[in-house]
Amino acid sequence: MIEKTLEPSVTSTASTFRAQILSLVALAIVLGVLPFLGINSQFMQICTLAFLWSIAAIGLGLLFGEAGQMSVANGALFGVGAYVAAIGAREQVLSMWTALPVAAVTAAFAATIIGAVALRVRGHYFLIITFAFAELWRISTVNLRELTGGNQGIMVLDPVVLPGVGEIDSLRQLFYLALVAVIAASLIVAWLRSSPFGRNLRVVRENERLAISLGLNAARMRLTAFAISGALAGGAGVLYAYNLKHVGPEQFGASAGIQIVLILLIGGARSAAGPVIGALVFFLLPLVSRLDPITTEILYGLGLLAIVLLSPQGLVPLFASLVKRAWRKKKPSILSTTS
Amino acid sequence: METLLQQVVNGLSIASVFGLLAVGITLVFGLTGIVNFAHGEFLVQGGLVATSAIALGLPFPIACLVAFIVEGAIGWCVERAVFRPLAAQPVLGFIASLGLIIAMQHIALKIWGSNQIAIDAPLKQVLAIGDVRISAMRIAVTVITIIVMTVLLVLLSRSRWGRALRAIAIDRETAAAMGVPVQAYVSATFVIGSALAGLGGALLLSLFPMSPFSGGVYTINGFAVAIVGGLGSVSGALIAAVILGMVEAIASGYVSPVWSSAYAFGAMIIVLLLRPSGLKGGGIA
Amino acid sequence: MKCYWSKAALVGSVANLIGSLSLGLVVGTACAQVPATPTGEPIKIGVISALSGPLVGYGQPLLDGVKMAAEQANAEGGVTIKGVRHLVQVVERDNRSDVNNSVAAAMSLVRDNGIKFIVGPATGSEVASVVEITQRAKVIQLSSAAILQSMLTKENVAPSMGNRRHLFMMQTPSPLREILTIKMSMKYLGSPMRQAVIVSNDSNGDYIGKNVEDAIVQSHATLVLPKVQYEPGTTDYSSYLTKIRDAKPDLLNVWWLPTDSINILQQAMQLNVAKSYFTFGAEPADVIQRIPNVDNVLVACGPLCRNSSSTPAIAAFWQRYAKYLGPNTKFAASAGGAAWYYDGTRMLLNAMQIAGTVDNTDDIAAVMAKTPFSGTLGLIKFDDRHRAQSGFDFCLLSKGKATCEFASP
Repeated sequence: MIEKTLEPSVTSTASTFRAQILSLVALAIVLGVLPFLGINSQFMQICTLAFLWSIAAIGLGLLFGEAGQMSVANGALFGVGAYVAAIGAREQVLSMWTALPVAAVTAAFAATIIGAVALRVRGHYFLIITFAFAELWRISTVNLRELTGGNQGIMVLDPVVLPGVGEIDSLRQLFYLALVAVIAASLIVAWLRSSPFGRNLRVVRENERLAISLGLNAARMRLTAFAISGALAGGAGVLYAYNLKHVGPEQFGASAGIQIVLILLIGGARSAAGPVIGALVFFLLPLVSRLDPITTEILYGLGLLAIVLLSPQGLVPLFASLVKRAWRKKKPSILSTTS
Repeated sequence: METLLQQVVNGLSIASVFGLLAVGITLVFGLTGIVNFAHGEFLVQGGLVATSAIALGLPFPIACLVAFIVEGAIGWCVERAVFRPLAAQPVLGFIASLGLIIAMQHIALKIWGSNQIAIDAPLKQVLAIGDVRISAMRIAVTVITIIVMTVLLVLLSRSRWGRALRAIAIDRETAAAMGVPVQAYVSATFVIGSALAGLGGALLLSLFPMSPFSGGVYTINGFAVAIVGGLGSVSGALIAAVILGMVEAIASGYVSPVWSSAYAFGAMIIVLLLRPSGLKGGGIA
Repeated sequence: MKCYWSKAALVGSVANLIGSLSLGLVVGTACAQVPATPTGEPIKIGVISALSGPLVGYGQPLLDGVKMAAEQANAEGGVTIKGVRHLVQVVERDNRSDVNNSVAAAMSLVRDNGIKFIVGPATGSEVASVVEITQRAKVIQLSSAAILQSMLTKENVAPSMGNRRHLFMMQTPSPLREILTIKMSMKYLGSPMRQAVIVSNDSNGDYIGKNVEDAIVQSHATLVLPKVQYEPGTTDYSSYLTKIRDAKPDLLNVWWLPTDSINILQQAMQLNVAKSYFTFGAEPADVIQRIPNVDNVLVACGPLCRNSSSTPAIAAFWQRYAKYLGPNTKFAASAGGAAWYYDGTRMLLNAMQIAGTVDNTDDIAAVMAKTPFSGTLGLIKFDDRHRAQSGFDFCLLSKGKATCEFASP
């Protein structure tokens, strides 16, 4: 049965925060151990890219999960970060590390502009406006050729240099860099969720009138959430550019935004580990198929449908509830606690 | 002067296609709240079905009817299986439609191949008044689009279905409480919207070739026009189609061609800012 | 080769006996040699290509071309190097028309499978990311993507030193191709002096558009207005075409997406935009079907027109391709592109044979760069930037009939 609102309750508890931290620690350990289990390069490469996409999804999780606004513009914000890094490298004014804060700020700024316009409307309309902005971004990157390199894009060939360590270049090192980034982003958002800011966002989402009567500036809060989601996407974009070594306009339009939305919802919009799991499923699922590519795509599309229909909260909450149910069955005498 | 006239004619021709795309979306998105991003896929599928019908020897008008019926039927299945369970959260319906897009594109790929498919246009003449030229087929498509929109307008404002839809769009719960079979009407609307998409695809096929991946652009344009016109308003969609069609023609012809697809998005944003319910939104017809 | 020991031995006279015995000896040693050629490790050629998603029309012919070349080589007994036979094995990866999957596929082929030869991706800027992976690993990569034009320079393909010396571009680069098409237009369409260009706004279109403009100017014709670029996905070109019509061109050059060219042509003719048209990418058979009495149109295919027989090699290619696909599969829109990869793969195998190695990619690349190859597309050779020069099919459409010629730059 589908409830009207996404649970859990508006007021978050310390135990939820603790649970989220625990799940992140577990995730970090599991993922961190993977390279030592002998996974191959293809898998490691996909994981690295999946982590970066999931950072953008984590940001969206704040905007959608807490503030209740679904945006498909975050792919463009991801692109803003990637292009800042690429242009910075081309003009030799930014290294990867200096590009990170610059990109985060730029993307947050872009999000603020989009949000100032788009947040005047709600729900479906907001979704469509963000779609329009995402496509406008893509068209601009194609046509502003002197700045963006146009259709050819920009190559990013500068190495990633870790202070004190030197150049990091191997797949494994880049994997860990991305893993650290995604865990950090998840922790930041988990903390924001449990903070007064997060609580107020939820009040704004559930009952705007009540929020205003409590003295909350709903518009500004939503805008802030959007800006934060932009900053995360922008930062991830920098790492993405340095990983792929090339940025092009086709990669960051509305379709990228849609991809981020899918990743978030597959994994679970309100859960800490959701976006990472969602990204891994999104990228790895098609590889599992032994069938011909076109049949694989058909099954993949139907699979996405099935996931949305069967577990609308996302895979992580579904898994968590299955585990809880199994636990309760095993120990029926223990009173179950709500979480 | 004649170039300007030609561009006006071009704009109206583009507008008729926009109108055709928007009409199904404004009905479905506007009146049932279902965000079906796979609308363009229904359209393309309708076109591809029509090509198969024509290959089997059926005349073009019958092929259009076949496309109408087939897409309506598929719409019925999809509404039951996908959108009805997700009715409480339209955003999830949107997500589900993304999965639907991938599946539909590749099913079409399997059946019809990656090649573009075109048909011999039933009407091949080109009318010329001085230097202004327009193909007879475009005129026919425009006329049919206007007829379809007029029929819909009349139905929506006069019939019981129209009245019920208006009620549902304004306040679903009260309508249900008053005995309106909401679910039945929502399903019927979705079916009609999908059927219209199929018909649109078949008609467009007489003008442009189609491949399994042609749907995306049509979806986006359709949504832009529907939103600018005001979701749920067929007359609004008509007006918006004309406006956006003219903007695109004049802008590509006189300003800068490379930015031409940006105008529809820009227009959408501006309209949504200044008048979020669109040109004629807030009501029906 | 059968061994006729017993028959030879039974022949009558002494002279015959001696002769037969010697013959028998020769036959015997020959028979003994044939089964003794050892078979070595198969040569693995990796393919990264769009086998699903919107780019499948370009991606599938790429795979087909490589597989056909592999099948042919294996039917001829594989590639024999230093007395060891190697069969050719194709390892394919679907990149789902997406850069993330292209990069993962490259990792899979290069690092997990140790593959030293990769063909593809066919198009798109994601090729750049794959190039970074292959070239660092000294893997030979073949692709026809336009972006390679700007990625290959004389310096970076220098033997033993250049960091892109293992990269090869299979498509004739701009501006050679455009100069050729303008030359052919002049020849077949009555030297049209006023010309215009319409081209898609994507990575290929950028190059092509500029180079067609330059080629027009170089041939002393007049460019009546700057190139008009349309957004990919457009189906209604009437406003662009009207703008062009206003400038009164004699010839309109229509480039480059096969899916768009025929559409643009049809709409242009309905609007009466120009006296004659050149288009790259539309199939002559399709044009004739859509516009029955089409006249004054020159069509160039990329690189071959479907089922064309401009040269015996091309006719043989199409026969082979039809047989490969079987009776139930139709040619894709860009099926002619398979020729680039069919020839490219054969060139690669040939280079291996000449270099005498299946693993030393430095040597193989050096040989490939300087050895012309006689293939479906005529004599193919690489310029000093590892870009292939090969020809195209040109078909003149007059009064609904096509006459074709294969021309090289």
